[in-house]
Amino acid sequence: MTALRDLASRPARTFFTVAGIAIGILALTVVGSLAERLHTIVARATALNSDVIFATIRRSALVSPNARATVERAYGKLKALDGVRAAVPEIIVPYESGSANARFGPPSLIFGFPEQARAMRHELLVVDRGRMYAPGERHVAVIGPDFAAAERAGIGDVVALQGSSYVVVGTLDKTFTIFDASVVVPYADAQDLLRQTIPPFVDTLPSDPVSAFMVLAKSGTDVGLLARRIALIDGLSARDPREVANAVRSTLGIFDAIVFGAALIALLVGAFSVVNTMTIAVTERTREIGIRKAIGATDADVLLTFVGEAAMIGALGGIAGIVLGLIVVVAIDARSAQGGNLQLFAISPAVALGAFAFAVALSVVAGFVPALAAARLPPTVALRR
Amino acid sequence: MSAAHEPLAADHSIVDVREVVKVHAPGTPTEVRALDGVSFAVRAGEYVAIVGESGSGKTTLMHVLGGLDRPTSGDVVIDGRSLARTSRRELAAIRARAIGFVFQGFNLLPNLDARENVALAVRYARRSGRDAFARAERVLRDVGLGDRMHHRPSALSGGQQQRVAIARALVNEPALVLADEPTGELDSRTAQTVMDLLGVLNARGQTLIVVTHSEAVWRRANRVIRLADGRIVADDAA
Repeated sequence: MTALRDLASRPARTFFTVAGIAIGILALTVVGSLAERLHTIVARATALNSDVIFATIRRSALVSPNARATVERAYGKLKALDGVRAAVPEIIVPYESGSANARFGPPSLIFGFPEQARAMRHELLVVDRGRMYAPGERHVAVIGPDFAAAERAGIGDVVALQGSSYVVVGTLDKTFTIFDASVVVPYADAQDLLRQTIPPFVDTLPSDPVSAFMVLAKSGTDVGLLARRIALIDGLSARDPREVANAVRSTLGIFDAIVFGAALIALLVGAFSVVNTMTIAVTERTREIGIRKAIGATDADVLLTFVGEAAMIGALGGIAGIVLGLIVVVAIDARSAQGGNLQLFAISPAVALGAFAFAVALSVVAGFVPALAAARLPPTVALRR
Repeated sequence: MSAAHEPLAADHSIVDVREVVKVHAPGTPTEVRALDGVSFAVRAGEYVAIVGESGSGKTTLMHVLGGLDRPTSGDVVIDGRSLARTSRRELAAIRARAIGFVFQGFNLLPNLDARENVALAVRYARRSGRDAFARAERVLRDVGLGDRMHHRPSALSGGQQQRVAIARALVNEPALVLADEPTGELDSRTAQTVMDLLGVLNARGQTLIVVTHSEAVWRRANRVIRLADGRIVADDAA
């Protein structure tokens, strides 16, 4: 507490030094929360999709004159492939929002699954509020939480999908996947919506159109190899889910390096202000050091006094930075939710504690050299000042 | 505070200064031989004044006696412990437990109140932390500052500050109290009270060495050592 009082006796200098550390910690908290959030999204999505391959029907195949035959042939080949447990047709149609808001995050999509796919999709399609549509029901929608926020739609509201009206009957639980920003409609409705995306002069869609297949691999199957074999089927494209995950992970690694690097530079500037402040403190308080030594302080006592003050600067800066960081993060997320964007940040105790510990440790390191100079001052020299 | 000072044998030396030479900036053009073969002993319970002109070596002697500086040659033994052959850490321990300093400029820490200033010396003496405030309060009451415990130095008069400094010097019951011009910054009436207090301490058996210019101060001592050019030129009972 003496350290706190010594700092309080020079309020302006202490304020600016603490602010230097606080800005660094603010940056670290914000980017740390951003990174935490991205890592969570990637980890969950990777875990949920590790044995699922999305085989998309190429757009060129979908609008070609013999689309029907191509798709049917592809579906047949797909189901017959070794290692395929199930191949479920899906409809995925881009959602064109009427809202002019700029958006972060993945695009909103409209999904339709046949009944048999619902069980497989169970993990991703947990209804949070309301209900799932009933078999045979039409023109109803179950919406993801981020979509609900973006379109300001709730249960009972009507949303317009490609110009048609749909009544919202349920909202989905948050999954941190693309479904958060998406809409799920009955399969027949999704097929109608898909037909609308095909230019009117191309009347080639099969009567039971699909746009993709969700392929579930048998356990023990090499999904990478399976994905490559699927991609060889005429009219289909597929990517190895692990390849996708690895690409995302390496992108995430670069992102981490850039944002943490920037935050560390901000902190380093703060650390230099601690060195400066502590050097001035030692110079100003040379006589005090002499007095302390005259009444029996050891070098270690003096060292601890000044290192303690540096640590206190770090602790105050750390707390201020974390609090400011949380305010920034909560404010940005609140704005982002209003605009219908994905929540950008995840605040974890690990991020906050890590930032705090780092602030204190950095300040101690920064304060150490001036403190050591103070500790080594001969008492007679110090008392002469 | 007298409890710790049991009557000692008359020949028991608290301070033994043996052929002390102190050269400042040796081997440089500004070399100064501040102390040049100084020897004397101070027995328990003595009240010694060290006097001399400016530059006579008084302050250097005070620093060497107090373990703040080491002699170039010779030795100083305080309460049986040689200062010449001790580590920095041991020297700090001797300053904390065996010596109490009273300075001309009071030298209190401005951000600590009276009680904390005194208790800091207890902490540096590595005595029980919980005991520190109790000890500090007892000694402050003893020097007449029972109602000023929580005042910071800036809220105390010069005389009161010097009494806090004296309390700090006494709190660890040192074998020796060293005072450097203890009345130098006080008006004559306040100086009188401080001198009275030092007199009382000595009467209770506290060994005192006072470095001073002031005749009023050295007249109260029972022995006066006069320095000139780093040597003892007179050593008399006052």
